[in-house]
Amino acid sequence: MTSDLFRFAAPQAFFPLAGKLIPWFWVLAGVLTLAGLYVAFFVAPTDHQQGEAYRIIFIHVPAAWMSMFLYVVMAGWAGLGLALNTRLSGMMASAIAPTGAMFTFVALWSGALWGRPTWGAYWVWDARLTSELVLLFLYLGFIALKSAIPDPVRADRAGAILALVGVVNVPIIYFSVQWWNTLHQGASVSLTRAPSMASTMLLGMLLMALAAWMYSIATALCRVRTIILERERDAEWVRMTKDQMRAAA
Amino acid sequence: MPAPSSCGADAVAQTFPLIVRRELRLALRRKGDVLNVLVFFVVVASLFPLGVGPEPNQLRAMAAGVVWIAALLAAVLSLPRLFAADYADGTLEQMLVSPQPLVVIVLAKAAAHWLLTGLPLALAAPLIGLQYDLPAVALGVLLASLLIGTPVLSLLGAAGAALTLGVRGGGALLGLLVLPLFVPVLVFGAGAVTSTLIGINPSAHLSLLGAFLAVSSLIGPWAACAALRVALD
Amino acid sequence: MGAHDEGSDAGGGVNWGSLSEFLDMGGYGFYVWGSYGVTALCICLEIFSLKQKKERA
Repeated sequence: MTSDLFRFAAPQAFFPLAGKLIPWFWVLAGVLTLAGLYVAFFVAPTDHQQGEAYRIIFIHVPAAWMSMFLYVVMAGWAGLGLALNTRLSGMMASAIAPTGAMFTFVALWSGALWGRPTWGAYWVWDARLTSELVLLFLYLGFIALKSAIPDPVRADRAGAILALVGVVNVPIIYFSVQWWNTLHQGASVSLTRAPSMASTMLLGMLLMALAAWMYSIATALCRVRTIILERERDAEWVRMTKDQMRAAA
Repeated sequence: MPAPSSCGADAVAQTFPLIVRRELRLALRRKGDVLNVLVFFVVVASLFPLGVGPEPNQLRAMAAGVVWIAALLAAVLSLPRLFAADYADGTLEQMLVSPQPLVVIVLAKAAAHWLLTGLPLALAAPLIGLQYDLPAVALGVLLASLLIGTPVLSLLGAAGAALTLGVRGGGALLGLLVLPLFVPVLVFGAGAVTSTLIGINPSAHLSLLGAFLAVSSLIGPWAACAALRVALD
Repeated sequence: MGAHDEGSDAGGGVNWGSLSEFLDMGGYGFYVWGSYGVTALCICLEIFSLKQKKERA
């Protein structure tokens, strides 16, 4: 059974498997998004202190969760590639990075727009947002390093080392930024602490988080298929597949 | 490059000072490079008041952050040279295939780098601190924080230098990779001085800085060795 | 956004009086829709970029 699974470590076998799975994840993402948005706008009650502005939480918190989760997953794939010397693992890490960076940006943007009506400024240097900013830099560094190295094998391995160093440092960075924040602001101001978390609010955030997760899987699988086609372009099966795809189009 | 005469732990123990001495000798042939970094540090630290105004209270509050950021930038500036020369003339490949453990060679290079950049910066910092009108106690804490923190810059920086070896756009890319990782050093280092200014004991900050130094002395050399092997395979 | 219930109560949930109230978000419309809008934009850009890369591969 396990030997069957390991068969999919070869890009040639993984390509069609990913192709079959992708539509399901898009469907799941779409359904969960609609459910989440419904709860966000029509079920979750108005907040007493923040009014309707708090509804940004249904974007901000899931995006922040995903940005951190995706970094860990990306580092996991990268580390796997380093340990097992599999090409596909490095490709998966490359495939995840842009989506992770996107969610980090969304978390920062929505955080800023939430901060303005709630705390009076677009950017208040609270611990969580500042850590998100550093996380964005880590994503950008990973993407930049991979793009700068022409040899894909070296790029994968270098990126993996960077991602592993990053993943170990992220908790330390987060802790140090928390420390910094309490030192300079006394009582720490937390943008993501919604006052009284009604269960419907939690439900909305969970639905949106699941939707984001399904979306991330779908985009990662799409992207990795493209990466496989690019990297393995000299292989016979790729040429045949491309011909088939063009014929079908 | 002379090889140690015997094998085993003796050889390892001999390699470290050997490499450090070699690095220092090579660097002192080009003293300009070393001085450049120091001058850069002083220039950057002197630019801040020109940018924000000479108001003493404001400058005093900023001093710790300014000095530390200038130190970070100076470190990033000097890191590409860590492996570049040896990479260019093939010595690095020799180091990889030599019987001496690569990690010892990397540690030695990082130590030499610190002696040539971090240490001078730390010793020059109190003078900058005087420019910013820091009280004597704060100057002492500034020196201590830099002495503990700048080795981290060399250790983690070595990993960054190894990852970007021979890569185009190396310098700026190196900065992008390594500066986010320096955030804890900056926070605890500058925080130590700032907390002294408001009357809090800096020992917590300095201990955390020391803990981070311990962590980076494991992560940095590991990553640097792995990256060097990746770059030279 | 999905269909809205005009003038009906979703079992103890929110009752938006009208479409304009919904869009106004209690005065915070700029911030709420600014967040959701940019997120939707990012997603569209990402999907578009994926399609582009697929064409080029």
